[in-house]
Amino acid sequence: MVAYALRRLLGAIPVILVATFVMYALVSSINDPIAQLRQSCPQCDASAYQRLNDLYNLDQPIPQRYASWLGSALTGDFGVSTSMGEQDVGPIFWERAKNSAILSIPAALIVIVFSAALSIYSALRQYSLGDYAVTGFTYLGLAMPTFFFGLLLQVFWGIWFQDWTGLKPFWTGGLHTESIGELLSSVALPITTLVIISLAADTRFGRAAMLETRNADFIRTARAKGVPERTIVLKHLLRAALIPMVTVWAITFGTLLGGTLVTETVFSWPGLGRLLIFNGVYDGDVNIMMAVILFIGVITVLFNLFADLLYGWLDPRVRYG
Amino acid sequence: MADTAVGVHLASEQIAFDDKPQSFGRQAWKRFRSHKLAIVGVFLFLFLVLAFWIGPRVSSYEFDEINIVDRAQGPSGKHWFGTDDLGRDLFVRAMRGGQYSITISVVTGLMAAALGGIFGALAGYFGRVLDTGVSFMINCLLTINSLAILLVLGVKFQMTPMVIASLIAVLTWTRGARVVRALVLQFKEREFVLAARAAGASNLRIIWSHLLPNVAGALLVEATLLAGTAIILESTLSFLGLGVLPPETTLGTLISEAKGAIDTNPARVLIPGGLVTLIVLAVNFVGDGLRDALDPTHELEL
Repeated sequence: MVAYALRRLLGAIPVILVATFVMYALVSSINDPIAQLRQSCPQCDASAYQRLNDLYNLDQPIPQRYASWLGSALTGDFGVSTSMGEQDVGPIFWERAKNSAILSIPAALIVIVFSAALSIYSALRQYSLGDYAVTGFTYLGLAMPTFFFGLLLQVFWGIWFQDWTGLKPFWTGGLHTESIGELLSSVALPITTLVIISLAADTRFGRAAMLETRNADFIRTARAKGVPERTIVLKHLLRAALIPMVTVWAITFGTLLGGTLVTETVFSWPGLGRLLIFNGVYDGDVNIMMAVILFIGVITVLFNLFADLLYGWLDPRVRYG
Repeated sequence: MADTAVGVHLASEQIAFDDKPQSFGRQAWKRFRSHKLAIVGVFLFLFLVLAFWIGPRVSSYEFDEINIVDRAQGPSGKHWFGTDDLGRDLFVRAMRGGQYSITISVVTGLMAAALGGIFGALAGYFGRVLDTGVSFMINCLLTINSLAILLVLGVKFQMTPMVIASLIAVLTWTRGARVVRALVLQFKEREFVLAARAAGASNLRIIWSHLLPNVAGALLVEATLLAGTAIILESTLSFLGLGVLPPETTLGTLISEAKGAIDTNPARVLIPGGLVTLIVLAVNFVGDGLRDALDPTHELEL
């Protein structure tokens, strides 16, 4: 298994290299810091351009620039930001990553607990009113764009609820850290948004997994030989059906850690997603952008590998080839 | 729900010997018809298509007709969905945006299915270098966040609906390719393929007339579900301000423009958002129905 994990990690390296190179080439060829400087500072003299050249190696072809970016990135140096007054990207990145984690880690844990509970309930009471409600919820959650659900929460808690009761229990935007209560009040709506969207997908999958296992031969055998229903559910059904779910959870965890772009934008959350969209994309800040892209890529690869390893660990029938 | 429907039909088909033998197409149609949500989805989709294309003709306003006097109004008898900050009629604009959402989803679904079908079939059938190459491409695409690429391109290039649809298709064909590859791997060792090869059929002929018909159902299902994803991606892109060139509009753009007025006129956000949700719901219902109809042995996949 260790050999398999190592082989997968080695195999992931060229994937990450090609993916980041494509992004680097794309962003670098689209953004021209020299032209931006010419526009923002027409009176600047040649030394300013020279400085920009030295900072970002603009006189070199893109593959070389990528190589030197990669070289320093591997030593933990992500270069300086163009959009934030030539600060080092590293500290900005870690600060934003921490803010994103405040949302994504609790959201992922909530998704795991609730998707397990909902899919067990839904599968054990198939065709009951509760099951239809769960299925309806998954359809709705999958059909609703994330940003729309976020806006709905803002309209409800920020406007309607306040109009009815005069209270505004949750912040509808921004990270507020003055006290633990403020913090909880500012994470509530963004976390709900993240949870609902992932929960719909995972519950849908979990319900199908449970139903498939429930109809499996070994469950019928257990029932035929008189095993109590409770034992069947807890010992046979759950153990088998949770295996595919665990791998889905690992992937959800990775997705949430890597990508809360839209939710952060809706709730003005100072995390990685907003950093990527506002500083990276809108301001054309190559170094910021690449740091986030690299992070998302590595997280995606790692959690996919983690999911596969978990699968093999939980299900001894799986052999790594 | 669908599982039992399939079971019942198979059972009844075995008992009723005097019935005409049924082709796979007829059986699939029967399964699809008995999938209630799928039928709801079909009618919902047709209704939305009719509304989006006929609605603007019924209304007396043009989608880019500016009327400052009537600006920023709520829904009323005169302007059914209200007006925006320039006094443009939001009913007509929502219908116009809906046209684009539907067009983008259909075009994306078709293009991604074509790409996924071609790459998946080549990788599965020829294996070796081609398979490694296609898997590598798929892995690269999965590693990069598609929204990030779309945003980068959106900043620089003016998007037309067709460009958006093609870009989304190029970024999302991977799912279809994986499904087709797995099926082709299964089928290519089966007797009918070996027989075709023994009879002298060329590789392309085997893929085109023997393998593709067998994977078409699964590919159609993927294309449908992808069409739903495309609508969400497109509206997200427009919401972030990187959509089509004004005065053209999409549902996501309408939501984005209404964000600032959310306090005074929440309907401006709720209506286009609700329309996006309805389209995706309809498409997903149809997709699930197709899956149960065309791919009854469908297995769970991650």
